[in-house]
Amino acid sequence: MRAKEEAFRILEAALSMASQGVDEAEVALGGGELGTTRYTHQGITVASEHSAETVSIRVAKGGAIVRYATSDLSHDGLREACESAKAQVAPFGADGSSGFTFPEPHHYAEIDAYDPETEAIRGLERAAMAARGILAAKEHGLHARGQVLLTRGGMGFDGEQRLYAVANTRGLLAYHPETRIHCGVELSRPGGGTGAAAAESFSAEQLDPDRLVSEALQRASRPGTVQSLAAGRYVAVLEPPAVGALLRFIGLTCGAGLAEQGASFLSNGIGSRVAHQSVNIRDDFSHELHRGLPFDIEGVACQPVDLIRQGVAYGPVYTWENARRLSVRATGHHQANPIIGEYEGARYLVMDGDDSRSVEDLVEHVGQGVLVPDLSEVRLADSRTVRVMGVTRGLWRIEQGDIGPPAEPMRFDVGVLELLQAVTAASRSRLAQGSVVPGLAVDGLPLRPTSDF
Amino acid sequence: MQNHALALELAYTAVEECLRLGAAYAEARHEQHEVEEVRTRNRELVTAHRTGDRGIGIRVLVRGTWAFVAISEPNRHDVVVGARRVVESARAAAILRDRPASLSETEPQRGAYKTVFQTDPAHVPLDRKLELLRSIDDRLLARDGIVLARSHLRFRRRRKILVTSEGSEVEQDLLTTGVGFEAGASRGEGLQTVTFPGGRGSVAGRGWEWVEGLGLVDATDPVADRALEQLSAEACPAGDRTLILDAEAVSSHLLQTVRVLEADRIFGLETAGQSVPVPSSGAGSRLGSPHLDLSLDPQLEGGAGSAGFDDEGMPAQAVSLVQAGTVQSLMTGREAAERLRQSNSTGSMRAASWSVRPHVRASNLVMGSGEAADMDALVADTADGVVVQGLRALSLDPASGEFVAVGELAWEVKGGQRVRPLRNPAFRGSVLDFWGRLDAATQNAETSGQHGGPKGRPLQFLSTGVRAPAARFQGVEIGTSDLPRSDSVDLPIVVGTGELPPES
Repeated sequence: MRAKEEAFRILEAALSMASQGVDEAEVALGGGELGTTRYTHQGITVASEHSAETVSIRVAKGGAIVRYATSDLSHDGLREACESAKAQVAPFGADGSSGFTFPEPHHYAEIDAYDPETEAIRGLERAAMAARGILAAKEHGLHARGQVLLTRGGMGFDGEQRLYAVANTRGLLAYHPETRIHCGVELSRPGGGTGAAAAESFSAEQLDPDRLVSEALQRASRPGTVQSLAAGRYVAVLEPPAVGALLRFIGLTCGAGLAEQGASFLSNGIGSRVAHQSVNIRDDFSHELHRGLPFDIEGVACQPVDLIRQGVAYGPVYTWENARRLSVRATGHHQANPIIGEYEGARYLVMDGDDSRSVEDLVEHVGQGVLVPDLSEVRLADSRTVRVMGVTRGLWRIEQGDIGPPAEPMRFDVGVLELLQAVTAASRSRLAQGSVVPGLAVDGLPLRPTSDF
Repeated sequence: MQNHALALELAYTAVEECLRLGAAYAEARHEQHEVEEVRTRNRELVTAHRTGDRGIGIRVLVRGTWAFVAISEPNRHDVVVGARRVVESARAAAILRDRPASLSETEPQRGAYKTVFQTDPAHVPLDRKLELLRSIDDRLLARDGIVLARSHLRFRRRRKILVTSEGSEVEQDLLTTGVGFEAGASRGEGLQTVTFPGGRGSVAGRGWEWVEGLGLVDATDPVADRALEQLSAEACPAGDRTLILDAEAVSSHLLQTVRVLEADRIFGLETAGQSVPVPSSGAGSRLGSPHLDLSLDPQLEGGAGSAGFDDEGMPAQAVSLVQAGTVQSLMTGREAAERLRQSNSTGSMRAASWSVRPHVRASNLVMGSGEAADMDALVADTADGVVVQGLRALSLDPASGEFVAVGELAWEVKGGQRVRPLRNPAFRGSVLDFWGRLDAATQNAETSGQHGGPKGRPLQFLSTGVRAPAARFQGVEIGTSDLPRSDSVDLPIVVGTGELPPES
């Protein structure tokens, strides 16, 4: 990740080269560094450092838009990239304009998401964090797996490059420095239950690896052998990671384009009831726990957007292009993802919780049922109903208001909105699976054994 | 462009510096990539994107522990710093290691490999590519009822140099070309899509001449016919029935099935604590019926995964994985081969880029042919069943071997004849059981290439070539992927692609 002055110098140099002979040009810097340490009870299995940086040149001419990206940020590299982009778009001069223009300059919220001490963390410090989980597993005869991930600049935990600076010929100029650290541990008792804990922040100081190990250990040490559950609809407590895994699909399906095509839960009509009246979900990059990127991939300033308020559908979110086409204000929600490419959606979801309650309170509240700590293999089956399928991860029975014996993983197949209509209580919210979410008590989570399709 | 001599010098510098700092083994992989992608939607240009990047990945073994560092646009200073960092990381990670890694023996390799092609797609002008895609979209949209036309081209060139501390030095110049289109039919309610060449397009280790030879524009009419036919088709009924898969669908399934033969999964080297349904010894366990033969062929002509060497420098070699339904070998790298006491690895270590560590992945898969003359012969020999053409999605859990698959097109078979089209077919099972139900295959096989599922963290996607026949399976649980009613108690199968498709 480059310092602001250096990043702006590169953007300016590239923009002056890219803008000659085209209608408009945009330059973006992306990438940074990713440090990964993964481990099992047998020791560290992965120790890797990955640094990559890309400058992306986008030019528009005669209604066509072409992008060229390169990792070569030298003067010659930038020149070659700009010339290549312009050569690609040159044949389109005679086609006329589509009316598309790049965004005007925006004002950005100041988000403090960079910590120099976190940036300085390397493999040795990550190994020391991982050692807590490994030693706890060895001491208690448990299996372990866990990871410590650290990113600097525009890099995701999966190594995907994201932009951190962007400029265009209309005068738009944006920059956002960021560090992020994730620490996760999962401890399992052979033949027994699994305990997991994870935390993420822009600052390592805000993470406490010992507390995470202690949380995971406490859950994994609970007595009881793994039980098989029958297929059925269960009263359930979903812990924040499970809620986060489900809500991700609300974020993917709340774009104006999908809503217009009839492929979003918002297609049923903004203002219609889609969830229990206690449910409030919004996208808010500026939330204390997110401290997210204040602009999207075109440099459009992000706006907080209500998606569900008191159970009623609001939104949608807009890219620059769709906002122009529909004559509304852009909300800065043009996103990119290495698997699905560019899309219009929400990335920083926040669901209100109840600060007076813990997950344990929810367990006591429901009395009998199942506790679902997390989900895996979650797949979207239908974007309009936000119907998803997947497998529970680390399931427990709830008996007499307390956590009972562990249970075999179960398959689920449920509409996320259907589940949000069945909410009976919520715990306090925290950052889990990329969203700020509470634990939820719900009536009627359909589950079936994994061996029984 | 970084020149060849400098790339080689950087790779040697990295290896020598790592050895000097105490590494027992070191390898450096310098790569330069060029990627181009062009997409249209209803003849509008959606994406015209080129990317060029290069970097070096350095992997070391110190006190039996691996570490990896990747640096983009490296110079000599970066490489020296990177070498120090990777050795320090490995040394730190080694402290709590229970079982030190070691490697199978190998002879130093020296050589070069280049994909055979006539025309480099990078030299074909963008407007010519766009003209092809727009011609496809135009032909599709000219049909009444076709409301969506999406077409794409994707090219990837990788130039790689690998140097190891054991004296290997290999160079490769690999090209893959991907192409496909999708037609969406609707008459106001619901959208039915059909793709060509199948799945979400095909990938081959070939050049532009392959694109021109596919007859893409001529293929639009039958594809549009199929999409329109789906609008009036009834949902695929549920039940245990005979299933006939076309070669494309068999290929898609094999790509997922073969994940259970990846030794690094079995040993927990890739994902911690993961079990798989194949014993760790691998060889001798059953994976299918006596009709199943499966092998690796890293030099399959036009294969999407064809290469001369893997990313540990092992030379390409054909390996029998399954013979008459019995596992002959797991796919291995050198660490897994040493654990299995194999004399050599199967040369299956592949990395998607210089920026990531190699994992065990199939290069190209070849499934043995059967005796049926063709698909029609398989149908004629089937009293009651379902023919499925192409797979839209297949979700397999490598830990349990369970899968759910969604087909693209289907027909009901009664008395040896296709009697009616069926909509949204799905089927499921466990890979071990499913391949045990294989009872016939066609004589002719087709070669296709597809992107395999992601593996590792950071996630890696790699193309794999598959040569497979159409095949028949007895007593498979078949149903529909249509959405269930929310109040349904007995839920039918529901699956999805896992993510929204691009540009939706």
